[in-house]
Amino acid sequence: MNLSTGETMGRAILNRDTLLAWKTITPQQWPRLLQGLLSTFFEVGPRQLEEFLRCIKAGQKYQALRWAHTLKSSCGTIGAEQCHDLLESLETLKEEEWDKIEARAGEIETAFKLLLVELKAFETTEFEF
Amino acid sequence: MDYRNQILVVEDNEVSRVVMRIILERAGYDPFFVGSGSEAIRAFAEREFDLVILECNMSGLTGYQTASKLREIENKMGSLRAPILGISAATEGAIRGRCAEAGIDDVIGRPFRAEEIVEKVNLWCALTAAVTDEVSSVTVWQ
Repeated sequence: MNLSTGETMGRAILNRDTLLAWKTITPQQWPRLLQGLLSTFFEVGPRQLEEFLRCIKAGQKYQALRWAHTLKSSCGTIGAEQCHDLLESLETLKEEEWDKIEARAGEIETAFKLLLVELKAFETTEFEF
Repeated sequence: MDYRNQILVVEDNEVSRVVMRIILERAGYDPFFVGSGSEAIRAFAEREFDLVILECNMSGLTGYQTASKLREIENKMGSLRAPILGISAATEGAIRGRCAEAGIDDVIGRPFRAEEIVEKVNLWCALTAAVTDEVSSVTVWQ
């Protein structure tokens, strides 16, 4: 069963299956893993996004792409497919396509906000019982 | 004595560290985490590890640069060659070539799959153990 929600552009804002896959692999450690994963993501994800956006505004291309790469890894780990793909798409852009990076940053910011909402909802569902 | 393999994990992403810790501890390993290449170099010079896992695309010293430095330390100290596994989103031929040049023995793909990590870590730790046993027996017989 595919539990993906909030799908746009064919990719899920949060693919819950990615997170639930950890549950099947580590059933005993699942609550600990999920708590650790989510609390870490809620703490570092917004910071990584903030740094990425700050570097874009400052025109620091290399640093912006570094933060994009870091945030991409975080997103990939928790199943944030849409954010992951948007961030990954920056890596193939050329130097002269900087304006596209700036434009895409807005999309990433929006997708990230939706992701946080989805994650909160997922957290509530998992710790309900 | 219950020996748990000592693994140095060099990962600058905190989210990935959480996942890696759970996977490795569950598989019975003793991971030691550092967040940068320079910290890894310090740790590696101070104590022995059975295996190193490092992110290839870290900021600051990259995983490739860090691996080369670790190999230099091993050569200088005359210690046994610890397997180094790189973590990379891309695992195709070009990346593997770059890894081999830097002294990285194998690549773990991203996003993480617990089975892949455990399988590769088990394999490389077993190889390390076999080499260590061989060296020990040679020393005994000399």
